[in-house]
Formats: sequence, C-alpha cells, structure tokens
Amino acid sequence: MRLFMQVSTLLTERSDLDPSLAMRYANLLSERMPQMAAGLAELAQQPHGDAQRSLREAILTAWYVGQVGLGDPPPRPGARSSKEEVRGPQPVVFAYEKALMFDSVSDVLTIPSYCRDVPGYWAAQPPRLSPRK
Amino acid sequence: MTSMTDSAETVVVGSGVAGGLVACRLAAAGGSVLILEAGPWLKRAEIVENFRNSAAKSDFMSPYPPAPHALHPTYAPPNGYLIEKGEHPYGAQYIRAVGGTTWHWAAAAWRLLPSDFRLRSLYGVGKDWPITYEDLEPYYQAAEEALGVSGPQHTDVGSPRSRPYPMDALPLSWMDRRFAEVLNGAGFTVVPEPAARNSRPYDERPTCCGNNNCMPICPIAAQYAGEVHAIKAQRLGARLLANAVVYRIECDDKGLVQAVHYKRPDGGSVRVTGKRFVLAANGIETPKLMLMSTSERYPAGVGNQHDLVGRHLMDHPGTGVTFLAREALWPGRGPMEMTSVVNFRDGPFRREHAAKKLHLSNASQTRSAAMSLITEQGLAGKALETQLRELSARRLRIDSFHEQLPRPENRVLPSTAKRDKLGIAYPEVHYAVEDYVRRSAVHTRATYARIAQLMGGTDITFHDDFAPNNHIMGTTLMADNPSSGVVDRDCRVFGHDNLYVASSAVMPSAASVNCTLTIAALACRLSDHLLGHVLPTSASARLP
Repeated sequence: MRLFMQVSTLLTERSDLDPSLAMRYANLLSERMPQMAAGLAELAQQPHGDAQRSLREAILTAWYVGQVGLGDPPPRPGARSSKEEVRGPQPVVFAYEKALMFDSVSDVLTIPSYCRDVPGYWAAQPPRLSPRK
Repeated sequence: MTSMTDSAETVVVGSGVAGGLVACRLAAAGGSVLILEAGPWLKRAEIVENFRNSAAKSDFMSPYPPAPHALHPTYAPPNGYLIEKGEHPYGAQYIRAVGGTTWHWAAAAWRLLPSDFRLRSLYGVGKDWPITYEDLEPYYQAAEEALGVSGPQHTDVGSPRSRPYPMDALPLSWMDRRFAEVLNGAGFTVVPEPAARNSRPYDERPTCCGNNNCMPICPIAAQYAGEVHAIKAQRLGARLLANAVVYRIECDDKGLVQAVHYKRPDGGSVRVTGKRFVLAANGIETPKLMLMSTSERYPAGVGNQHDLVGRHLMDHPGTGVTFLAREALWPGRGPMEMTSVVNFRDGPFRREHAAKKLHLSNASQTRSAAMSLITEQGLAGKALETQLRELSARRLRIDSFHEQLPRPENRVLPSTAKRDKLGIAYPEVHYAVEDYVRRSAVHTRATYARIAQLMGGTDITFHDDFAPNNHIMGTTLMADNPSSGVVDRDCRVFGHDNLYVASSAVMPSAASVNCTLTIAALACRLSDHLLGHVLPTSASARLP
C-alpha cells in the first residue's frame, strides 16, 4: 500500500492524493494484475520506463479518470475500434467526482451532470489558457 | 393462463413524446385513453447515478439497461437486439421505457423548411409530403408550447413562424458565440439552435444551469423528456400500463382493428379492445408490430397490402471533424449543443446531393482527452495536466446530419431467426448509405477543412464513418394513396379506418434536422383529427 501511494505520487506529481481511494484502487488493480507488487517496485525506480507501461497507464487511469480498466466503447455505434476487441474484464468506476481530470480544469469546467454556477454563466469569456496553480 | 381483457375508447401503443402528446390531448378532452408501454417506469435520479457509475460514458445507452421483457439495442457491449443485415450498420439507439427516447437527446427542436415538404416537386428527388409546411405550422407552434422550446426570437432560421418561441433562447456559450462570429464573417450562416430546454422556469421545470449532460440524461429536467406528457396524461385521466408489450394487432375482415394483444413480463397475454388505436412505438418497433400481425385476411401484416410497411427507412448519416482551435474556447460550458450551420439545408444542389446541417459540439472534451493522453501518448504528472488543459480548452468537434432519400430497400423486418424471452421477434434492419449522401459528404469534408482553417485549426481529424444519429424515419410513409405509402394525410393507415401512426415513421422526407419536433407536431395534428377538428386551418393549438 505504501509502495502504491509512493508510485502514485511519482506518476501524478501530486502530494494530496486521497488515501482511501488509493486503497480501493490498489486492491482492485492487484486483483486484475497479479504481478502488481513487482511492477510497483520497478515503477518506483523507473516511473517512466517502458517495462511497466500498462501498469503505469492503469494507475494513471484510476487517478485521473476515476476508474479501473478502460471501457469506453467505440465513440459512436457502428464505428469499429480495436480497443473494443481487446477489452478485458468490465471496467469499474470508483470516483467519478474525484477523478483528477476534473480537478485539472475545475477553474473553468463543470463535472458533467453537476451544476457549477448560475444559468448563463457560460456566456462570459473563460480564462485564457494557463497552467493551473 | 386464463385469457384477460381490457378496453378503452382510444388505445395508444407507446408512451414516448408522440404517444404521450396524443394521450394527453385526448384525455384533456374527456376521452377514455389507455397507453400501453412495453418498457418500465424509470427514475431520473437512478439514470443519473447509472451515468456517473458507468465506465462507458460516451455510450448514451449505458445508463439505460434494457428490460429483459422489452429489449432495446445496447452497444457497449453490443446485445445484438437490432439485427444488422445491410452493408452499413444502422446502429440506432432507442429507449423502451415510459417517456421513450427523449430521455437522452440534445433537445434540438427544429422545424422542417417549407421546401422539405416538396422535395420531388422542387428538385426531382425523393418524395413530396401530402401536406405542406403551412398545414403543419400551427402544430409546430403547439408542439413548441407543449415541449417548452427556447429559440432565437429575432433570427430567421428558414421556417416561417406565426408566433414567437414560447421562451427566448439561452445565451450562447463563449465558444458558440466566437464560432458564430468567425463563420458568419466568412459567408456561413450559423444560428442559435432552437431547443426544448428551459431558459426560464417553464411547465413546472427549472432553468438550464449548464450541467453539460443533456445526453445521456439531464439531471434537473430543464430539458424536455417524454415522461412529462406520460405523467400529464395520467393526471388528466388516461391510464398508463408499463411493461405491456404489444405483439399483435387484431383486425376484422373489413380492416377495422378490434383489439391489440400485449404480453406481461410473466408471459400472460391480455386482449385490449377499443374504438381506435394509435401506434406510437417509433420507426422500428411500429412497423415490426404491423408486420408481425399476420392473419388469414392479412397474410403480409396490417397495412401492408402494397408491401410498403417497414420500407424507406432513413436516418441522418453523420460525418464529423475534430481539431484544435487557435483560441481557448473551452467546450463544456453550458448545454451540450447550441449552434448550427444552416446554409446547406436547402438549395438547387439538392438535385445532386444531400442537404445537411452542421453542428458544433459543446460537450466537455476532458474525459476523452485524459484517456487518450494517458493511453496513447503515455503522459503523466504535470505534463499530462498541462496537455489536458490545452485539449480541454481548444479541441472542437463538429458533426453533421445528411438528408437521406426514402429507398424501399432500406427496411425493417421482424426477424424470423431471433425472438426475445416472450417469444416476440427481434427487429432486423437492411440498410445502406446511398451515393446521394456520399456526394454530399465529400463537400462536407471540404467544408470542415475550411471551418478548421477559419478557426486557426491544427491537428485536424476527419470522421468519415456515416455515424448513425438515431433519427428513425420513413417506415410507414405518409402518402396520397395506398400504392405510395402506408398512412394518409391524417396519419390513418390505409385500409384500416381506426388505426393511426404517431411517429417520425410517417415522414416522407428526412430533411436535415432532428425529427423530434416534427414528431410532436404530427402528434398534435393527429390529436386534432381524432378530436374531430377541421384540419388544417382551424387548428386549436393551445392545449396541455
């Protein structure tokens, strides 16, 4: 668990990760990836190496998208996608609202299905592009 | 199983926007009305939770698991309910539940153009309607008032109006405003899209506050959904039976419908008699039901003496483009769609290739961007977050609807191979995209390139897949005579004097805009006909 948190911190470059979410991600990922412990040890040494690419992507998908496993179908019915064919076990959503992708843009964008401001707020010019503080 | 019966003066099959409106208007006039809905009641809050918990967020069917006794198509993963037999997947999404498919839509509430009713006369292609735009105009107004449409009061969108929109338009998002400014300055016509979405409290529903989730579910009901009229119909005295899967229409030897038969989830069958029957079960389930209803007198099914039921299936095959705009426009602020490019909706070019509407997506790009940055570009940490902001701010997507012509070989049939747990046939679709559309799509692609250039676009990706848009039209065409269509100008099925269709299935032309408002207008017009009003001039348009 400590190792999972350490690797997550390295990959996200964030120091404020939620430990209870970390626990849940670590548990489910280890069920799906039996070699996770060894992979984590490797990532702790070489977070951006090629060897553990799929584990790195899985951990980042968990934190940023809030789910374990990919899972989006082809974007439109009828379209064919290779990703669809190689999809593994059903993906599981853990933390829609706490997905870090929304935090990255939370000064501008709502989390879809939530109301962030008064009706019509969207008419004003949004901030110009600048890195989030 | 003992045989069971029920009865009403008017029996409506289907509780979507069409069935709900007809039931409401007849019940308001004091009629005895029974609505039979194949699917279950849904709760908005549960749909919202399903959406939040789904990993397939770009699949709008994902929050709507099909009822085992009333399947509907799903695509992530595919459940195979819609059997595809043609060269191109039809891929329609529709919802079998109380309220129907307007649970998920972008609420675009367009009227057709007057020319859309006269395609054959004006351009020598497709078919003319037996009615004109002027015949339908009062009912468009009635439909806009019933659904609650907000629209641009001072912009001509090509469809003449007798009265203002019930609500003013919502303010455009900054992105839509800039898009309109840039394109309108370069010879395009970009207009705010009329939408069944509240810009002020209307019909006991709140103002849109920009949850950016119109598809697959508006969490606050600021956007119209068919449950509105299903519930109103009940309040007005109509009875609504959910989980009642109609599988047979029973006619006498003169063609009069005596009854419809439905199955309950436990397999029990109920015979429902009535004086008149309205089929409002969309453009796939309605013809399927008519074709399944064979008898000695009608071996090819109900209304099918000329082999026209289920034929002339249409949609609006779509192509798209994504690119990075020069400016930080931030799609995702406000409702999911607000503007359309409308200058390709009509013109002499329709002799040669399809009319179309282009529309800018205002859906948040953040989730799809995050997934591709992580899994395709291998980014992490600050680099990932910087790029995520960049793509979220600058990635624009435009899609299109191309007008399809009614062609008999595009069709819906009941499958002879696959049946559901109640023994009812799956629908089978034979579908192809014709050259009339393909020629137009070549022009659409060049237009996308031009738009991208105007917006300072880079990283341009075209989506040329003729994506389905779930606008199921044409399978029980309206025509002047029974050798050309399935229903007459009053939406009455030829040869069956007490049987009517309320659906986009009756549309003889698909035009290039979302068909829901036309469904609603036709349902209001049918209601007036059933109430004995003189059509079309003295339309009593204002009703619940």
